[in-house]
Amino acid sequence: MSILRRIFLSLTRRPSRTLSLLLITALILIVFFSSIFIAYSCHFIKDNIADNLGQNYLLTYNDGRHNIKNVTGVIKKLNAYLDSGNLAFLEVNYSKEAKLDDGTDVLLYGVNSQEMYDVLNNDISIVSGRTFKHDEIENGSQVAIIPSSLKTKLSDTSKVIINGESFIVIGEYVPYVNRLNGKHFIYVPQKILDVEENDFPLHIKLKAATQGDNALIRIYLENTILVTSEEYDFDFSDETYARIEDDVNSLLRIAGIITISSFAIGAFIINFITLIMAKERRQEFIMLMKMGEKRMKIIFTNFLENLIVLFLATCIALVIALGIGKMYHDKLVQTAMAQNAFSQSYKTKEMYDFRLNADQFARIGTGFSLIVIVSLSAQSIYVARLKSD
Amino acid sequence: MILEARNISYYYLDGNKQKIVLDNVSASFSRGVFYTILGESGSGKTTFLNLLGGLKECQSGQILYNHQDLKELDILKYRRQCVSFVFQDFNLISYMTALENVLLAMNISSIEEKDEKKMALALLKMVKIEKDEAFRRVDRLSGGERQRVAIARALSTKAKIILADEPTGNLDEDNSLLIFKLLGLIARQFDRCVICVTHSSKLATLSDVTLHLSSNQKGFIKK
Repeated sequence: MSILRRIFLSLTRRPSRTLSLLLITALILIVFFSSIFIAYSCHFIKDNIADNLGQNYLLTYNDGRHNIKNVTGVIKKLNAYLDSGNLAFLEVNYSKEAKLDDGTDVLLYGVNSQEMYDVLNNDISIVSGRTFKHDEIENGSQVAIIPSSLKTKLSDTSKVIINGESFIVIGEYVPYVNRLNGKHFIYVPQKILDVEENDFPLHIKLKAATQGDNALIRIYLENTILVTSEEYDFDFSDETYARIEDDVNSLLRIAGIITISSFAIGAFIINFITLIMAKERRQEFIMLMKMGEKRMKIIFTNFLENLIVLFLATCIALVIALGIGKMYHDKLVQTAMAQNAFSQSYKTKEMYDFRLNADQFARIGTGFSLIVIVSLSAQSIYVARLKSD
Repeated sequence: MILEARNISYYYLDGNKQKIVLDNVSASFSRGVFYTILGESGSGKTTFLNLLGGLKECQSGQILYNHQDLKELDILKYRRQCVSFVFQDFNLISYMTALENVLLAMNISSIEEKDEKKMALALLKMVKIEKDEAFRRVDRLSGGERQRVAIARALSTKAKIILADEPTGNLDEDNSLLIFKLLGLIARQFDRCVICVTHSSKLATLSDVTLHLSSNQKGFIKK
């Protein structure tokens, strides 16, 4: 009769013992795992409120026209409106569509600084000529810096005719491949661009990745989505954010306390129950020892038997705890939404994914092993100390 | 001679006081013989049986199995393969059937039979446990039936020595008689050395050799 057969008989022939251990253990583990999942939800909500409502940030960026700027403030619930992650809209710059005298479509980009800067590739390398002078920018002189690709097409490389007006070519830069749908991109002083409402805007967006109290923000150009500042609601108050954060923090603390106490109390209760059960089987263990069964084999068999029950209880508890965690998470989101902590558009975003990933499995596995070791230690020690006579 | 107790003494400490249970006791046992050990309560019968079974160690003297000191043997192997126990309170695993109890003992003793189930059923049949009872959980069997299952279990390990500690203590007269007859049969027919502790001098008459353990003399008087 194999060990597994013995365990099977022991578990199935005494269903009341097995079921009571299973139910009690499952109940303890439901509390334990639920508190863990609620804590996960709290972290998730907290992070998302931070993303939605923003964090204090200190931003150093180049505005695209070589100006280095420092901005501090709170990135508010902008990213909830944007589909592409943590983008926060900061300011709008304009370009203007234009035509050369030979009919070539170009884009004019306004520059208001002497230093050339490409927001995607940092500094633009001027391969010949120079950048704008201060007075050219101030006066809106008809000067241009053109890409090398365009220069090769010009019969007279000293000037370029844009919308019928002649601009002196003062410099040449290496163009960006396929940039702006392949259109040539010509830098001119900002003042020349007579910006109108329907001109094609270049949006400088900020990618915000929150880190502590500061936000690390990368700047880049976004020119495919047309957005205007009027779409955004900036009036969410920091107080509301702080209040919600406080609430979530309190819940997080409670969940933490429940996790630790349910582990400690649960381990004690499981230890107590399995010890009582081992004591009930004292005669059986002694008889096995008298028959020459190795003590370690008896301990192992009994341990494995309880381990199976604990494992089943863990599976049941995990399923129920995931449900409770998800329920609680949804409730938290609803509460946060009711308090305007999440925008309505956030609803369409994917909620916390409760499917377990490898990392969570590893954590649960570690937790389970810890519970098993702690919970089944008393009965193992008891059997180890039994005397065969 | 398969088993010999040579000048064994056993005592335990009761506080600071040394309580002598067995003092310089000697006895020898052979295969094919049914022994009973009679004695008053506290005379050390069960202790003696436990010493023979390797469950306790004597403070002085030797217990020899096939002329080998138990202290030199692998005691777990000795318990698994050389001796079998029959207890007063049966000591069967209550949630297992009679057959499963016998199979478990065979498994512990590493008895490898081609058809171990068949052999176990044959042993049970020999002790008058029919197939119906064999497949019944032992906690649903009568006391007499349980003790017979315990005897079948002891037989299944193929141990040469069977140690029975008051096996009829919880049984009525008829069942007691049946158990003693069975033990005698096992000793003679299966060439086993059966050593049985009992209080009943009447039942002891069914054995081949009766040893009397006196609490005063702390030794055996062979009858």
